[in-house]
Amino acid sequence: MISHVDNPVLELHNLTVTYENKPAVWNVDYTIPEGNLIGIVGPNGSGKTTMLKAVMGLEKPSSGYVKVFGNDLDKVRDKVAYVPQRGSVDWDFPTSVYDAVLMGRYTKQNLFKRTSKRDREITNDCIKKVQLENFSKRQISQLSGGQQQRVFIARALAQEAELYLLDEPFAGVDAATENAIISLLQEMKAEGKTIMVVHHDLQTAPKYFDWLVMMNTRLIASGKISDVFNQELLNQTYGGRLNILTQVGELLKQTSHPIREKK
Amino acid sequence: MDAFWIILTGSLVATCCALLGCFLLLRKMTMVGDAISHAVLPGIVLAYLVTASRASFPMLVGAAIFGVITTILIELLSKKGKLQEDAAIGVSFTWLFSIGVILISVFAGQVDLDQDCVLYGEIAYVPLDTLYIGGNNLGPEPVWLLAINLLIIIVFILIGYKGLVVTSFDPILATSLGISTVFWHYSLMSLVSLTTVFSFESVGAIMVVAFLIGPPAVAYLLTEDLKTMLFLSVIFGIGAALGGYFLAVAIDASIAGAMASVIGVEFIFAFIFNPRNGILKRKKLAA
Repeated sequence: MISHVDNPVLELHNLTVTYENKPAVWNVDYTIPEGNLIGIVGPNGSGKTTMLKAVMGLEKPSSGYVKVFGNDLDKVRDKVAYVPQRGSVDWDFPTSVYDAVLMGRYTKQNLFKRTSKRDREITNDCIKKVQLENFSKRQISQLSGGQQQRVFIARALAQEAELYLLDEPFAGVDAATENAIISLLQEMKAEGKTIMVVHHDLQTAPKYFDWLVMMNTRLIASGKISDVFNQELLNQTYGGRLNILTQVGELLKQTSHPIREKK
Repeated sequence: MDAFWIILTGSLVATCCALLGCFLLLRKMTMVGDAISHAVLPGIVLAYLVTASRASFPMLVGAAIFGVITTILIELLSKKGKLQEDAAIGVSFTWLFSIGVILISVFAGQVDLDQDCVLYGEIAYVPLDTLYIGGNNLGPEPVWLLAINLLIIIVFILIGYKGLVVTSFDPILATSLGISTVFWHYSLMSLVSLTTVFSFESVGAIMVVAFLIGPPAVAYLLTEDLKTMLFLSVIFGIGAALGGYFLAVAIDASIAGAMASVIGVEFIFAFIFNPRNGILKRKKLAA
């Protein structure tokens, strides 16, 4: 079940990425519509992070290509913001919240120039949007996990992109922070931005997302959540993991989409 | 006057090393600095054989090339060869350094260099190495070379601050912004190589390592702000040069050795008394 759209924000064409001859992402081909909040789900090691990295040019595909706004990434870099997993940096780095968020304003062009007044204003605005204004001068190691995640999101906001790719923004954050982040993402969606989120909690997936990409090295499904969030495709995505399958069954009962087939 | 030149030389080495060392430390690459400071030896010897002079332009180029070769070799072994990075560092630089040692011993008659000089240096001889231009005594040549080197480093950090910081803190973000992490990596490594060449005659390769890692490590314990860290590391570096000189004079010992020992003492103090995680602080919290 793979729905394609016209004028996609992001297009992956037969993308394959391999590590030492083992495929991490195998022949993934989908298109993403503009102005949606998109979830990417799949079990651990199913290539979600690798796929995002390939989109950002951080991993070289073995075959296939990625088009962002119909272009190569290099031509539209300023329209894409990537939020890596929180554990990918050293939070003991001697820098403040403000300086870390300001890095989102760095570009190839302004790297050797002084920080402009506009850059500083945008940085302060973005810190306010994630409600860290009282922590602006604090060193980043003195923040909680949820606050650190919000620093990363503020930094991506500061890039003023059109397409946002977030790798597990809800990992290790409390419920209140998760709510704050999701309502921020929904605001961004209302402004016409497209946001893709690697997500692990199937409970909340139907509530959060409009569109779902389901993968397990291969692409299982990509489409409107009402079309793809069903038992058959979840089974295919998560394989024969009984524990998860029973949970999924429970879940499907709770969702508003009726299950037509009962075995 | 000799004391002045010796302390000035030590302070210049300390400042160059401290500034670069801060970025090495934050990139978790201090041992790469160690590796480079030894692995430039074959470059120095080869350039010396070709030009028969020390601290000449070919020597700098030779050393810088070997510095970059070291980093390439380390990355090759760790990324392609799947060797742990520390093992890759150990294999690369000992191999290159040993080639340098062989070259020195084979061409011993033609090279005015020996292992002792390379490893330990002799800062006490700095005032003898006077630079004359048009008959005017301009002071010791190493001081001038180190001053030029320091100027290059300061200009590099001032202009490249944003690039250095973003590639150190989050290379993934830097790449996704289109900023070349490779460019900044090799620029920094080239400057470490240059600094080693300018410094090794006066303080030796081992002391370069002490100055590269020690003062930045002390500063890192004491502050949470990068600019303050750069500033403090320079202060502690110069402090070690000053303190080391007078310690050496007082007990009639090796000057470079004394300078490096003072860095160790500074570190112990920072470790015990630093305001955040110092042992004293922890004791107080426990009590």
